[in-house]
Amino acid sequence: MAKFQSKGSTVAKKSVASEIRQSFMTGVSYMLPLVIAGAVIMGCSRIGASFYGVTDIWDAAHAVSDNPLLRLFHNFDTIGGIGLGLMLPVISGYIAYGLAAKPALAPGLIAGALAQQLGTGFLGALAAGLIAGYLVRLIIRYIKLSGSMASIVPIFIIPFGGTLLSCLIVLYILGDPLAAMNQGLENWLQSMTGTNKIILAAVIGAMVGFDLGGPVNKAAVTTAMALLAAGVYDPNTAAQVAIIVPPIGLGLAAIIWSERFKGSLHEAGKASLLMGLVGVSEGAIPFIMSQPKLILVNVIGSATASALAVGLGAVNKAPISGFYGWLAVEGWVVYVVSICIGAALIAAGCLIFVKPDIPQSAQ
Amino acid sequence: MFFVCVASCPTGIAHTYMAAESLQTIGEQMGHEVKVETQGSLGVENEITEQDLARADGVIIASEIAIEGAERFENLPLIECAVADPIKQGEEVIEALIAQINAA
Repeated sequence: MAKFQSKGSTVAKKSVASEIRQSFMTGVSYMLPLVIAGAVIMGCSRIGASFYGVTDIWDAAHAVSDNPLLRLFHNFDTIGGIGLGLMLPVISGYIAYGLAAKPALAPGLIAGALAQQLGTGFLGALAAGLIAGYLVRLIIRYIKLSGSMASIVPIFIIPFGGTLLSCLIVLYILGDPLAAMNQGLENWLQSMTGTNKIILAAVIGAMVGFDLGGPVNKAAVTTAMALLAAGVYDPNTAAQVAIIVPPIGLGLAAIIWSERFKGSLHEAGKASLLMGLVGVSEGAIPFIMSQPKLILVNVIGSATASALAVGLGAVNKAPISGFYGWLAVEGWVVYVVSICIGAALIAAGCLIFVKPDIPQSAQ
Repeated sequence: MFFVCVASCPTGIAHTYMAAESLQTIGEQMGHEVKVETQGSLGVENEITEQDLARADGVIIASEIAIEGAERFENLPLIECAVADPIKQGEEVIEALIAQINAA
């Protein structure tokens, strides 16, 4: 039984871990629309360009191409790139916001942008957000000016001092070690081959399938996206496959076996399938709510599909999981087959875990 | 009693609204009046007004993320829980708030 926190205890006692988790989720929440905007626009550009046999649409040469469509797709790539470029500053800014509300946003954004410039990647952005958030909180707590001077704190001291201090910490203390760590991580992932690569894909797939848009899923997906920006494609391929396998698998199962999925769940199946096809794993949530055992099925299905896709050499270079991105994947046939196998596994798993005689909660 | 609630989750398309619906239905089944503000991907909907706050007996915040306008509730009995809690165990959440109100 979960203990609900009442006010007296929360403010003082909310554990640091749960506070940090909540702030990370806040950051992810605000970052997500940017990622979708940037990724889908960039994806459109790559898919469009592929019709003309162009695989490097981001190359400046296409800005002056004779083909007006290629010029347009090149601009799409630029626009998408701007969206994805805001990803790290925004997650950092809203992590800070999650810890210390509005005054922490500016310091967090700026420190995050700095972390990005230093090449500290995703880790650096998370750290920058935490630093800015806690620092602003300390300033609010300890710098108390009286009377007419009080307004100087939010209007001057926090934006100026909070930002500068956060950035100095990021620059002189965390920058080098985090950039080295990030580089090391990228090199390590890039050098992965054979079995290791497949295991990595399976782990990412399992994480993504586990809580369908929850914290574990977001940790895996956002890490994969950050690595994608660094030119490491396998985690992204694994994540993008795993995102859509559960909603498609469960959606199919609910449509095919209507005697096992009654009432609202049958309806949810159609929505789930549709959401799966456009790349939203949340469509599967109503199913795991009513039948938590399906989490296991999702984990197995997603992990298998991810391992298959990566193991068989599919490479998805765009952070897009929906069907409109499938054709842009290198080795798209194995990619789609892997998705189908994963979805089929999940649908089959429903036969074991969802019995026709158990009445479903008609929520 | 009259409860005001805020529901919010990171993506803001599924859990937020499921929790809101759950709080609404279960609260009403238990004989209370409930207003749920959702802070989903579309931002704040069904916003809790000054008038609501003036007559509210207690607050439930069901969220995985930092909500907007948390300072509105400073002087009210308040329960914080995960966004999934009202969906899984709505009655317990509301009972916990009532216990909190009675204790105050």
